[in-house]
Amino acid sequence: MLSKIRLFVAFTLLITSLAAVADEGKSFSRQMNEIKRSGDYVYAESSAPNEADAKAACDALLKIEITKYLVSVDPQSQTDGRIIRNISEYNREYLVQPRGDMIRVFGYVTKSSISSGKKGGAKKTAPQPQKADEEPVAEQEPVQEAETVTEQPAAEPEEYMAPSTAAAEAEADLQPAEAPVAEPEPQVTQAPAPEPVSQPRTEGLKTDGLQLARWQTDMLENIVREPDMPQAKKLLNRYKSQNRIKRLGDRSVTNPRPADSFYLIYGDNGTPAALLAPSSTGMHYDMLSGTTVNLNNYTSNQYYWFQISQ
Amino acid sequence: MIKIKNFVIAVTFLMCMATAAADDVVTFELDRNDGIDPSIPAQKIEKNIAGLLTAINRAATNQSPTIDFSGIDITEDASYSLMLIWENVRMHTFDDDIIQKCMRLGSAPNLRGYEVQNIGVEMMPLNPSEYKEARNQEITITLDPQGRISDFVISMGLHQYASMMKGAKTLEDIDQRQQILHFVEQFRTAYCEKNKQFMEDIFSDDALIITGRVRQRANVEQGISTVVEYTKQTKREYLTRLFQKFDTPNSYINVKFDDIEVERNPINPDIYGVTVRQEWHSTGYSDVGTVFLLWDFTNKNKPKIYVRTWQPNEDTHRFKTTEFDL
Repeated sequence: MLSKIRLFVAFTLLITSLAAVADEGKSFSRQMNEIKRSGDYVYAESSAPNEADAKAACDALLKIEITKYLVSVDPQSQTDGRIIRNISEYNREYLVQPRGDMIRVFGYVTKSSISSGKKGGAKKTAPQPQKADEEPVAEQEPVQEAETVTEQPAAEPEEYMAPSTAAAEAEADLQPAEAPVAEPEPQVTQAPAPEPVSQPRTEGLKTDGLQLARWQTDMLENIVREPDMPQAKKLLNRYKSQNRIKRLGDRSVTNPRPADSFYLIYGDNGTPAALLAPSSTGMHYDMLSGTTVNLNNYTSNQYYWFQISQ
Repeated sequence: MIKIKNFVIAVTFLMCMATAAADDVVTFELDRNDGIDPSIPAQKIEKNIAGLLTAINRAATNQSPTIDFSGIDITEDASYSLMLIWENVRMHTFDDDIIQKCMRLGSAPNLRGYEVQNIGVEMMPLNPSEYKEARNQEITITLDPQGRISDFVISMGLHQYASMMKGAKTLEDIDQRQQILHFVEQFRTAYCEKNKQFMEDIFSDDALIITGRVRQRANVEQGISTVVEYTKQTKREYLTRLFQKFDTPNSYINVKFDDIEVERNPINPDIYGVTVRQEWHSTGYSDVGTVFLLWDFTNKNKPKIYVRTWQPNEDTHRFKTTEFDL
């Protein structure tokens, strides 16, 4: 009888330990997927018979991914798409998992540390390796972002074909990545415009109360950093070709969903005067001044409107 | 007491089975963080890949000799390729929640499709003692422009992939190397599947082909010695002999490539040299050697092989693209 009990206890322990091993693997996958879904990181993955080889291969792939990211946010940053040479300038973190007779390595770098130019610093705290029974911890609410991505896929073709604007938007959609959007036409009816900002803003967008992923904030900073409308047009079109921006138009194109749209407003001197973000109140929030504003204040200004992918 | 014990065992067993069944289901998502072109049938790709991986896992768990492809949009060729593998080895994905990037093959208007690479699987051979490959492998799934699964291959490991990309200096070069890798895999698969049309198409009409054959000779003084015989052939000569092997009844050809190195011609950026370590196994003959392929990617959708050479691994000379008059 005693031996049967021992056998049963041993069997239970075996099952438990197998479950623990499985959980460990899932913990790695869960952390890795959180990082992937958050949109805040550039990442690469490799596996090799030993950890050193796996990390070396992972770094080689990370160099490619970092270069792709640099080119996507600032096409001028890497002439001819030249691959970065020194990966050690970037703060990498790794998740390591033994998998059978191989070692799997997942390496990642925060986008903020790449695009800020502070390659060695400004590192975002990444989700830390954790025990199987702990809940994953990550900054910027990656779970919420993951849910957003799932609920609202970026590549929904029907999103582009709202009936009221189908013709105008279809035209915009057909443009190649570098093609400009339609040139804004002069507006006859003028209304008092807010005081324009004299210099293009380059940093410090106000994001209070806005739920934006890091890549979205980075993208908005890049857009507002462009010194004039033609330059901004090019960049907006590029982002649209990458599906980071879903809809795009200027004042000549009717916006079917103004409450959900961002507005890049230009002053009389041709520089960005306001960057309006949609907010939960139905009003727009100026990310340059940090104030809530009424969209109707800007009817006389030149502007681009766009909706960004989730 | 016995009843309680039996009940506990039964519950434990059921829980184990339920866990195993749940682990078979795979969710698959394309990474959208870098943006996805609206023309990509993302949802269909996700549905098909998730469906295929789940079907594979279920068949592996149930030790089924077949895979249930119902509900999965997959070509006959792709399902046939998979079943050929399945006859010898089963597999199960390591992860049940997978996010991967999607690579475009070619570009509009000559888009050939999409590829999702490096999905980790554990191989479960039917005859473990005969299985010489690694247990951890990665698979690559190719889809046509409509999102239908069109190919399924066991791919090279990521560390090899990284090694192949190391020599690249620009993103354009990286893209080109990815396309090359795709064609190299197709080329290898064409041997295994005895695909005559692919071979006809891929070799340039004036291709230079050097094959080698390892023979063992015995003589009284030196005993058994290994001799390598080289043969220089035209495309037609090479393909005629190859197709004879293809047509031999009950014959098989299994070709493996690894240690892939890529060199871009410094003068003509569309010319690439690819050096691979080749394992050739066929009915009655096997060898291991180094194959050099000189590819012309001037037409990116229909690349041509100008040169194919074979050398034994002991021969340390490695061909370069600059050694040939183009």
